[in-house]
Amino acid sequence: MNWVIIAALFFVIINKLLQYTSRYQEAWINKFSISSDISSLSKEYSKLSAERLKIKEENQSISAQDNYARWTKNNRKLTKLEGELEKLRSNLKIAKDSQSKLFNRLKLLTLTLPFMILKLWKGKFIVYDIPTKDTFPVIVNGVLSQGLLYIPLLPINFLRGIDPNKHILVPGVSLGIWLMALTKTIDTVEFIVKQLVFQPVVSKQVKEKTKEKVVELKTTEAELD
Amino acid sequence: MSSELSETEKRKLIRERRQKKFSNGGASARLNRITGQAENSQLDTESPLDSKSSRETTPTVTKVDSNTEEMDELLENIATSPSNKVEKSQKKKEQATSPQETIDPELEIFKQLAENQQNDVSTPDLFSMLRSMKDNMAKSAATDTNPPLEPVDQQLLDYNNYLINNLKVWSIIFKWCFFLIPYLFALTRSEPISFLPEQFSNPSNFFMIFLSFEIVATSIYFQKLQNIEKSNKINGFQSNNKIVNLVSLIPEGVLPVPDIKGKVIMALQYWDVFSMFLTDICFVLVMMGLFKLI
Repeated sequence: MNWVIIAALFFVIINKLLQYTSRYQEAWINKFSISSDISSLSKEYSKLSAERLKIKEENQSISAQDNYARWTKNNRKLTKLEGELEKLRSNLKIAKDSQSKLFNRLKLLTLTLPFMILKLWKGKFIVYDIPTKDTFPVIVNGVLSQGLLYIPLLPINFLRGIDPNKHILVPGVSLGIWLMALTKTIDTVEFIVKQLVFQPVVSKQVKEKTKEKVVELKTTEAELD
Repeated sequence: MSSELSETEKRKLIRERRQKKFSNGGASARLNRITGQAENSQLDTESPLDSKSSRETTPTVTKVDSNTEEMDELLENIATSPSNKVEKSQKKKEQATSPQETIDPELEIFKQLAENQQNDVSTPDLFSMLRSMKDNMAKSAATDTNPPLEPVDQQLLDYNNYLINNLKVWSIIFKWCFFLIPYLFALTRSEPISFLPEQFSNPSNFFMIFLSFEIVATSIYFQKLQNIEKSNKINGFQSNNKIVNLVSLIPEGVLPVPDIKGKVIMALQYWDVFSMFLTDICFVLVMMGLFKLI
């Protein structure tokens, strides 16, 4: 197997894995956070929120009239804590945002861009040969080996008097088309699995159409006497 | 007019009867009982009827009377149509200005204010404007060539979508497992399989056989799809498609094409069927490569 196919398969698999695990990614990123900011901030946040909960519970257990001094003291502490928590929350959000931005940039640099370069560079690389020349019609053969750009170029080539299939000695499937077919097939398999395994059975519920009656409110004359 | 007069007369009669009934006290106690007040309540529950009886010696029109008169006017205002209102209020004004009547000056001011409000038609209120707009919209919708669809039950829609997806899944599975995989396997073998007719293992015939199979399979699929939608009386595209919703926003007559929504729905249906064909071609390409590798 050629390295081009292996690299393309690797990119496809990694992309699919990332797609399937998108639900857990945030937790992972937070766990292996590069900056120590987030972990310290979140630790402090949880500590403060626990304290706030404790004070709130205490305040609910005592009577505001009987233990007025303690109650007001707690209340003042609560407002102060709330302000701190709000501040921490915004800081945490900023840190998380910057981290996810970093992660996205990393993904773009290591996965998306190289994959795109590979597709552009080796787009016409023949992955495998088609059994015979007449397995598919001529136009389909051209698309399979030259890519989708073959169709818009077809009339131009005809006008210039160039045989569009002159480069095709043995028809084959190019990398670009093959990757497209592969992604489509994977998506379809995904759809089948989702529908048969994860989709709960929907049963028909016969519902009688409830006729909405327009209730007219008649203003009766107010009898005050 | 006569009925209204009789109304006021009736009310007057009842009022007089009530006043006679409570002339010897007991009104406050009754009010207390009605409002459920405790005996030693701080709130004032003295009935105006009692206070009247205590102050009966005063010869002028009492406050109670003026109050009830006010109420009468209000009731009359409600009962009469707005067209008569101005007339009436003018009449009232005349009455008020007549020297025989003794009426609160405060009441006079309020009345004038109310009159001013009634006569002020230069600024139409927002509600009436909105109502007229709504009416116009309803009218234009009614005159539309295709009447608006009644809202579809969400549960029925879910059920419909579930059935369609199931049909799609099973038709794909059937096509892939029972036709494409065996056929492609036979096609890619270097030595022809003995029990199959020669046409099937010849790659030159592939596209023709594939296309015929696709046409048959797709027409069966389309037939079943139509059956489902007919039995549920739902057009899946009509009720839950973003493009259709977007297109239906275009008012009729802006574009030169009539019934653009129906055409878009039809195009989407054909695209749905065509995409099934594309999916099968993609599967063929992937499987062909895989079988060549084996």
